[in-house]
Amino acid sequence: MTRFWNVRENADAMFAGFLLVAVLALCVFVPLLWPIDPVRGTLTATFKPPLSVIGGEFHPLGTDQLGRDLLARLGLGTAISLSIVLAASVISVVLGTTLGMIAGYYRGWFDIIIMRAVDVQLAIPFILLILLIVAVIGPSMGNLVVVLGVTGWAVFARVARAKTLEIRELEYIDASRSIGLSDMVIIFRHVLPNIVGPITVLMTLDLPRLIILEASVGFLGLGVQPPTPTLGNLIGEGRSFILLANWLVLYPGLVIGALVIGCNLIGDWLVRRADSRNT
Amino acid sequence: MKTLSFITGRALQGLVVMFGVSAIVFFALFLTGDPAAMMMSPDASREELEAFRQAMGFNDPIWIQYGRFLASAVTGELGTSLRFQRPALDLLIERLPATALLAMTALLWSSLLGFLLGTIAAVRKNSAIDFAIRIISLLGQAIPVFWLALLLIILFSLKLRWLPSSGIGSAVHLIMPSIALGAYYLSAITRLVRASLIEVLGENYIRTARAKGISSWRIIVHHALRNALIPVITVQGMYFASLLGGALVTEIIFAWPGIGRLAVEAIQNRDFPVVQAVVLFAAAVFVIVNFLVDLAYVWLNPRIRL
Amino acid sequence: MKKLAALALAASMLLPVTTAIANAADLVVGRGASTTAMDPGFLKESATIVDNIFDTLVMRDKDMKLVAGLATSWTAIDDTTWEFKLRPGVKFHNGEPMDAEAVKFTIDRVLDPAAKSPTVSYIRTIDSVSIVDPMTVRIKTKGADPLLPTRMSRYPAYIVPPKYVKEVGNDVFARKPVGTGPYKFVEFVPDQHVILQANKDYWRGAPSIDKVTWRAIPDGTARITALLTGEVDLIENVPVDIAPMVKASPDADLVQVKNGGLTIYLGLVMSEKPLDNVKVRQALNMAIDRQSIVTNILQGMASPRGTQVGAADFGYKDMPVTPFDPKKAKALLTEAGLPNGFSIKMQSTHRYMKDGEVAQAIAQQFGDIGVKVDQEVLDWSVYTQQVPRKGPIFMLGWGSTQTLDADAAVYAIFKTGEPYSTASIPAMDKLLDESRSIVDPAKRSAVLTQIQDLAAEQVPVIPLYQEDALYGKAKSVTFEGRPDARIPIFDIKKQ
Repeated sequence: MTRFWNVRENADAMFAGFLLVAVLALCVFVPLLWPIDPVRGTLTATFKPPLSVIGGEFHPLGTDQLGRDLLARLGLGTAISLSIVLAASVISVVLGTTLGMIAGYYRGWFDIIIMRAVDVQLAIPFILLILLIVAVIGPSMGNLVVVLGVTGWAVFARVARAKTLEIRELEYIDASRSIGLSDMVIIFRHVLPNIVGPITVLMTLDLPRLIILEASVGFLGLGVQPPTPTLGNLIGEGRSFILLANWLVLYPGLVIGALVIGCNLIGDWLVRRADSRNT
Repeated sequence: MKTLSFITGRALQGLVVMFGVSAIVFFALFLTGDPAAMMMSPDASREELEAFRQAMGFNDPIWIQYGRFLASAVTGELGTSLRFQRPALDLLIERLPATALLAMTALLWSSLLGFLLGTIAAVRKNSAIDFAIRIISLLGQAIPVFWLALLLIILFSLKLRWLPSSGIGSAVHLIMPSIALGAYYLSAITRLVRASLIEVLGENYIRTARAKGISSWRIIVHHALRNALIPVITVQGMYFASLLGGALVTEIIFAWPGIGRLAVEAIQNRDFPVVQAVVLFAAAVFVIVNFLVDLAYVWLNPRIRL
Repeated sequence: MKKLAALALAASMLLPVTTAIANAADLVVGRGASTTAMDPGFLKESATIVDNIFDTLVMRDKDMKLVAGLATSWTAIDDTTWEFKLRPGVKFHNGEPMDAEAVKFTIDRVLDPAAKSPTVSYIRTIDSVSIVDPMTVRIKTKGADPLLPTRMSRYPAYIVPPKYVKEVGNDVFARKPVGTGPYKFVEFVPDQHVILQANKDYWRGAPSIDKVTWRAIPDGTARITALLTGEVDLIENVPVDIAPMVKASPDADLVQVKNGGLTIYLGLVMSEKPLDNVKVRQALNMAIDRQSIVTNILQGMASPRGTQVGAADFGYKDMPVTPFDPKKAKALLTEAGLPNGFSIKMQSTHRYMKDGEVAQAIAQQFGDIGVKVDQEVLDWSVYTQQVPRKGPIFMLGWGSTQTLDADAAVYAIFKTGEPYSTASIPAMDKLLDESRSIVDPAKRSAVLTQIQDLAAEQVPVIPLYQEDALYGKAKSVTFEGRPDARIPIFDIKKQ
């Protein structure tokens, strides 16, 4: 392949990188540097359009239904949403990978139970399950992380198990076993490193799903409690005012779009790279 | 014979899954608190609340309630809606045609268009048109359903006045909800078709066919697409579960009288039997669809036949 | 695009084509909530639709005065007996005669403990109903009940046809109701619509609107859009922020019924510290800038209130709204021994006009006097399970449109031990008990006034504001809205 083609091949990754860096900048620099409080509002300055100046304060993205600065809320909200989604993703990955590896390594009844549990989990519509659980245990940031995390483990378990099945047949695993290494050591020292690659790719591709889920839960008013902003809360609260102040929904929507597109493109790129290395 | 035992094995697995789903659905819902307080008028007396609880069986030990639930579920009896005072199954069946019509329309247009776009993108890999199609398909996944739905209403109903804003009735009522619901699948299918077609096009027999001078489009239609279909169908089965999730929001916004709206209103009203019925139904559809996908798999690719 | 066209064509064959725009003799109403059942004796939702199918013995006119309905007159024979003379010649839509037997049947089936009517509490004061002659009934109450005629003016006291109900059973009746009202039931498709047809033989004369379709459109934006595009003629629950848009639209009008909605208040769980201290309750009461909330958040679609009693209620006293005074509130906290404030949880829900925004604003205003608020916003279904036990501060709407009497506005939320009360003030309990034992209107009114004075001083709850009821209507429709939240299609005209 020529160098020219390499640039074309990686163009999407560069575009994705640009999107993700822009979102990261938003959620790092705005909460740190932007001087306006994201939670306090001025009731006399509600629904001011973007680029308004009120009482000496500049609101580049306008104000919301309580006169709060949208840029400040968007920055903090993005940071909080990303934290929730990443924490939930880590729970899913750790839970799913561990169960999947153990199932694949030991086979037997444990494998059967885990794999049927995966089927059960995948058969129930995520959003309905999440709405139900949140309605039961009450909405809070911690609960949301746990619910999103615990309901997302199945895909990771499935992939981890399949990969483990492949790896455990390899010769060096047999060798490790014959020199008396314990099962746990084999699983975490020898199996795990071989699974990290595909799991990372899967995680990247699963993040958009979580971002949209968080937004949907916030949209239905069951997410993190106000006045704390998240991307879902911002759209959920703003949608009642969409005919009046479309910017309240537009800008959080753009951030979600950038995140989802960025993660997807990076995921695709990782898959492609892994494929070309294998061949 | 092997095919037969494969099929019976899959069917048994499906039953086990349904059993697991029923347990989760039952116990998750049981924790939701006191339905009696919700159903009765706010100033009902404590005695009235207690009598209501007794009548509904909310006071029995939980495992007796579960046994009762399972026994009747097996006979197709899914309890009586607390809100409608009618069998939950009847309510579900009443709303099934609306959701089926919406879901099928959404799946149909998104699959057809997805195949077309995916094929073009794969054939013109890494071209500008490929990049454009990929961005469009990414947008479909990046835009939340509710956001697209509201946008459509504002544009086509409020501003242009071309389409009715909500409800069911004529074919025009179907356009916006099915676009909102199908957008996600359009992108998913486009991406899948593109990816699997690129893989198939790289295989030896296609290269040979090309070398023999058979026209590209003929190769794609006759050879490549058939093989590219396998992963697409597999993943379609997985997406089926999330279809109801999308229908949930779509049906609420467009006032579409389907199962999704029934489910949301049942959760809001803590109408236990209806929520249980909807989740069990969704799981059953998922299990059946995936069973059919397994069959299609065997049929499409004889090499997999066990 | 060809595929889309083909699909649309295919779909059109599956569905009957209906006209999008209603014609002049027809009316389409867009509602926020779906209808589940229409048996007036067992309603779990608002009576908006059944209002038009059934009649009551006593009715209310536009000015909320009690007037003759299916009963032409009523008199109290003694302290616990009321006699009603029925209107002769009235028939149900199926031809059954409306008579004393129908009235007795109607009330007995709701009072029957085995039937478990969700609204039985509204007529629980009734002991028995007896038939004097086919056109005369007597209702005996357990104690003196000055509000009995009022109780006979709305659900569950709509008169139902005994023969039909017995024949088809309660379940079918709830889906195919038959009454004496201005409209006959035609069709009910759950989550879609209810269609009613004018009753040409109605005893008050034939209605001018021929056919009414009630459509359920849960999403606010979609509901407004349907009104502005002419798909519906009338909508309920216009979101306050969009109200100015409806007002400005060339296609539609906003109907604002001043004080037509619930009175929103903050409940205080008085068994929790420091809410047991009256000074703390007074401080919180003064820390809220009601006028700013009403003007800036609710766009003026509500009125700040100093009492829980509605302006149209019997026994209403025009109490001054508690002035916004954060300085005095802080001083009161210091007097209460809490100069640095305290932390407390406040619960709210999504049910009332912009309640989420109002709760956030109040949390901020409490913060300004040093009370740190930990907010919890719960889905209504969860909220009803927790309120009013948890709190310790919670937001709730309460109304008295059912009876238009101060008793309904205060008793259930002020009296110690009532399911929805978190207050416990012995002097208040004494007054509340007293008010229920008096029949003489003037004396009762005096006690009800005393109750409101005591509430202003003791702050068992913090009254915030009373919502207006907001409707949107097409220009061609005449509709003014009513304080009791009814939509009487009989009184509506369309050009």
